[in-house]
Amino acid sequence: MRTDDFNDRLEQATRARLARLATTPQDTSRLERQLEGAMTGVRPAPASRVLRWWAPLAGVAAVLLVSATIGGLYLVSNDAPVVATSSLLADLHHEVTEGGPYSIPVADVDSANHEIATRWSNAPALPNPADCEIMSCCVHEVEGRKIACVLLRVRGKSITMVVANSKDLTPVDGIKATTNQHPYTRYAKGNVNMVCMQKNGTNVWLVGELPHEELAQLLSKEWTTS
Amino acid sequence: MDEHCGSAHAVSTLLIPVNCKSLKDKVAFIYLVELQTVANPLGINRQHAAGQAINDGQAKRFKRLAWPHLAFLLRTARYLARHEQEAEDVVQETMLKAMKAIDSFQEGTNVKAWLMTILRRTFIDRLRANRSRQHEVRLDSCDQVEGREEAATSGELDDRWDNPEKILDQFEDKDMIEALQTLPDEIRWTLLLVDIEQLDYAGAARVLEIPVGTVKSRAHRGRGMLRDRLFSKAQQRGWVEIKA
Repeated sequence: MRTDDFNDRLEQATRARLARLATTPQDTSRLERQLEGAMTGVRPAPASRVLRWWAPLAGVAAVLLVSATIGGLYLVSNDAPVVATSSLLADLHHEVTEGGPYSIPVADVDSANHEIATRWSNAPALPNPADCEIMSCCVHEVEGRKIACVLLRVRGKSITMVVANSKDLTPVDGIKATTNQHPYTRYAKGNVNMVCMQKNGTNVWLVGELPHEELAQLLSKEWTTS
Repeated sequence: MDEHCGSAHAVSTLLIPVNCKSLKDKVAFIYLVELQTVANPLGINRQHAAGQAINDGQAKRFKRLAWPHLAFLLRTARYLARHEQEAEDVVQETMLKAMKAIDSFQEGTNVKAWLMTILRRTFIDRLRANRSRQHEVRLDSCDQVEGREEAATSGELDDRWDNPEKILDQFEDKDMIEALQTLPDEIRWTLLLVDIEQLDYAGAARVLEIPVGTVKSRAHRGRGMLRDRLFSKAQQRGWVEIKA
């Protein structure tokens, strides 16, 4: 049976689902860096009378100046930490939960620390989130930076813990929140949530399909007791 | 700058040639144009003396008004572009154009709609540039596609949706985006403006430069076309029964 009411309902349901796409978080950090650099290039200092007369010469000078600026920015940005975008973390999560070829089964955090240390000599110590079963671990590289990934089971859900030095991997500029007095950053991709806490030069992410607050509590409990 | 990367003398608007692939090329090209002309995104060109283009006040105004909408522009571009790099390139180009034209923006009017107008024209410029380079471009005529899909949106097939809210909720964002990206450009723009970014019909009509009535009918048809694509996916995934 088809009525005007049903048509309206169908339209409203479609509009509501489309409207939810506007809430998808966007990682704009890379674009912001590019734009900042480009803005430097399109905000020239006042040009001299000579440049005004010699526009082609001014053009060449501008190209050289902009190229040097961009080159400088590029060199600086090479030292900057890689941004752990929601896409990157979600991909890592799927890879880890599917058990990639480099996944090493472990029973506890000490075994995981040991396995990771054999592959990454300066690896930061892994935290041991509360109420979690440790399943496996591995070392990944993201744009030349090493990170440790650990697969956890929490209340039947697979959670990926990503551990990296803060100078190597940094969270996006997501929503700031606090749990048990521990500040954290939260973001998401689809139904995969991610929280990031920082301690002693180490960034730790928990990634999975638990609510943000629950993920944050798993980390904050461990960091309160350690 | 690449010698094939267009000529600043050859353009009257700030259309960055598609063969300016790197950021450096684009910035250099913009700078060359800057030395002669500042392009207004609404099509009015004003001659500027070299070096008078962007001052600190304009840059600050741009940062205050346009910068907060970067995520919104990027999201929109991602729904429209064929790949991630194109989306970022278009947004970058849009923001640079907006910065240059910031004086033409009237405070108190809708900055989102203003930016969206620039974004749309940037997409159109790129399509034209691609077409002139004889690349393969999908520039569906709205009417042609709508005609083809009339049957799907005429109402008969929508009886299949027993519980539309539940089925639509089952789709992840990426499914929705994939389905959106199969729609003709003008329909997709309409749904983006009206249903995703929640512009009113009049605002969307200004951005799209079409009558309000056309926006309404395209939005209605677009939703129907989108549902048709989603229903096929739902069938493939066994979420709905295939009726004889």
